[in-house]
Amino acid sequence: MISTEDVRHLATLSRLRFNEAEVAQYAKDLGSIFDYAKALNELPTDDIAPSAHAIPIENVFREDGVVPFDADTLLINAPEQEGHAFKVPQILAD
Amino acid sequence: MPLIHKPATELHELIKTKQVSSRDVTEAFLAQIHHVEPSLNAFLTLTDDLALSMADAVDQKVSKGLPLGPLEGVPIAIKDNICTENIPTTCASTILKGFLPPYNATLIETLKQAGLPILGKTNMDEFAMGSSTETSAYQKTHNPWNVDCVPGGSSGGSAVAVAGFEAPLSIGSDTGGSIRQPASFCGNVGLKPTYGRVSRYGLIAFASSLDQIGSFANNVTDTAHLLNLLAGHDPKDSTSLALEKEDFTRLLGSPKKGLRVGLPNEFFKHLSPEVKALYTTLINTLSQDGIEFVWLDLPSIEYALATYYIIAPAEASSNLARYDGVRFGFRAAGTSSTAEMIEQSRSQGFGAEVKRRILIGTYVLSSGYYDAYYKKAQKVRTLIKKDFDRAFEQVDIIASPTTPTPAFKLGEKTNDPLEMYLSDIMTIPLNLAGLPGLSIPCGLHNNLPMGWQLMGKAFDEARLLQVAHQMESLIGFGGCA
Repeated sequence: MISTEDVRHLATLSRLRFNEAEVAQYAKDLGSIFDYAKALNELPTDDIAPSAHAIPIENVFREDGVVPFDADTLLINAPEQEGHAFKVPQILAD
Repeated sequence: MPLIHKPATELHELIKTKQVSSRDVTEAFLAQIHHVEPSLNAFLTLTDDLALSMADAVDQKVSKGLPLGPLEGVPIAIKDNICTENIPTTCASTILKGFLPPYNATLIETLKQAGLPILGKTNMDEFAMGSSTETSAYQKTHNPWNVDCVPGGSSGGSAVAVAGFEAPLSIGSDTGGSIRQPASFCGNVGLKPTYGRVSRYGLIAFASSLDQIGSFANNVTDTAHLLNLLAGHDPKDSTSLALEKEDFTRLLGSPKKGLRVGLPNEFFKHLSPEVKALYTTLINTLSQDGIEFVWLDLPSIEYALATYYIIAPAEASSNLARYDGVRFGFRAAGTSSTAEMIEQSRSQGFGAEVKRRILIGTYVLSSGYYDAYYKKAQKVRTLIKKDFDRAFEQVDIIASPTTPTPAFKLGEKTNDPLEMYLSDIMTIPLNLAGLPGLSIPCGLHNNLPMGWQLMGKAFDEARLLQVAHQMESLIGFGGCA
C-alpha cells in the first residue's frame, strides 16, 4: 500500500509538484507496481550476493588533466546567463 | 527494385561500383521520408543538409578512386537520446527542448569517420521509458504495418524508419527491450549487443547498468556489418570493454553443425493459443532442418520484470536528478527562488511516465525500503544471471518469442502502466544478465509481424548472428511493402 502521504513525501524528495488528482493516481499506480514486486519475496536470497552490474567491471584510473572546452559552446544551453555563468534565481533570502 | 527497398550492404556495393552515388541513395531515402512522415511521424529532427554533405564527401572519394570502408555512403537514422553536436537532442522530453549538445557521442564520431550520412533524429518514449513510443512529449509514431498500431518502444522511431523504408539502417538503445520489442512489432532485425560492447559515451543515461546501444536493419547481414563499425573500446566510457577486434560477419553463411537451441518454458507460458501455435509451427519447421531444440527451466526469469521495475527506476531517479532547469535548455518561467525554479522546471519538463519512474526509484532507494526492494532486486538479478549461465552450459543459443503479442493499438495500454510493462516480459531478462540478443521477424499474426528472439552468451555476437542468419534464410520472411 502506498498512501497519498507517501506520494507527497516522495514528490518533495524528487523535487516534483503534483495536484491532488495526480497524487491519488500515483498512489494507485505505485501501489499496484509494488504489489507486483512483492513476488520477489517468494525467492530465498539470504546467501546470494547482490549484482550492481551484469558484467564484471573494474574501476578505470587515469591522470587528472584539464581538457579545455569552449565556455560559449556550453552556455548555448543556458536558459539565462550572466557573463560566463549560468544564472539562477536568488538562492538565499535577504 | 527501388533503391529504398534494397538492403544496406547491397546499396554500399552499388555505390562502391559507381552504379549509383551516395547522393542518389541519400536523396531517395530523404524523398521517402518527406513522402511518408505525415502518416508515420518517425523523426523528430531531419538533417537533410548534413546527410547530403556527408554523401557528397563519399562520392568525391569514389570519383578520386579512393577505397571505401564498410557500409560507407549508406545513410542511417539516430535515436534522439544520442548526442549530436549542435543538433537538437531531446530524448523526446520537454525538459530537453532546445538542448544542443556541445559534443558528439562516440558512436556519432564513428559514423562520421565511417561516412554513413546521418538522416535525422528519431522519436522515442520520453527518456526511453515506455514500450510504445507514446510517452514522447512531441508526437505519436505509427506502425507502417497498420497505422492504428503502436511501433513498440522505446526506440519506436528508429524501428519505423527502417520498416517504412525511410532509412536502411538505424540506431537505437535497449534498456529492457527497447530495440528488440519495436523490431518485433515492425518486422525488422533489432540487435542489442552485450553490455560493454558498444560505447555509451554521449548516450543520455536512463539506467546505466542496463542501457546498451544497438541497431535496426532489414536483415542479419546488414546488422553484422553495422556491428563491426559500432563495437569497440572507448576510453571515454569506463564500462566499455577492451576486447580484441573481431569480424562479426565471419560465421555468416556457414550454418553451425549440431546446433542446440534452448527454449525456456517460462517464456512460452504467457502466450495466447494462436500465438503459441505460430511458434510451435516455427519450432517444428526449424527442427526439420536439423536444429535441435531443448526445453529448459529458468525459474528466476519469472521474477525478471519485478526486478527490472525496481532497478531501472532506481538508476533513473538518480540519473534524472541533473535536470534542474539550470544547464540543459528548458526552464519554467516566472519563478522567484531557485528551489521553486527546480521544482517547476521538473514538474513542467517531465511527462507522467518519467515522473512515475522517478517516484518508484526514489521510494526503493529511500532508507527503510532500500534493503527490502533495491537490494532484494539486486540479489534476484544475480539469480537470473546464474540461470542463464547454467542454461548456456547445455545449449549454444536460447530462443523465445520477442513479445507475447503483436503490436497493440495506439492508446490501448496508456492508462495501465503495469499492463504496458508486461509487453517487455520476454526482453527484460537479457538486460539484467547483460547478454546479447536480437529479434528477427518470423511470421504474421493478425497481419502484424511477430519476432523470434535469439539470446547468446556474453560477447558471443558472432555465433548469435550466425544462427540468426541461418534461421532467417529458413524462415524467409518478406518485408513490409
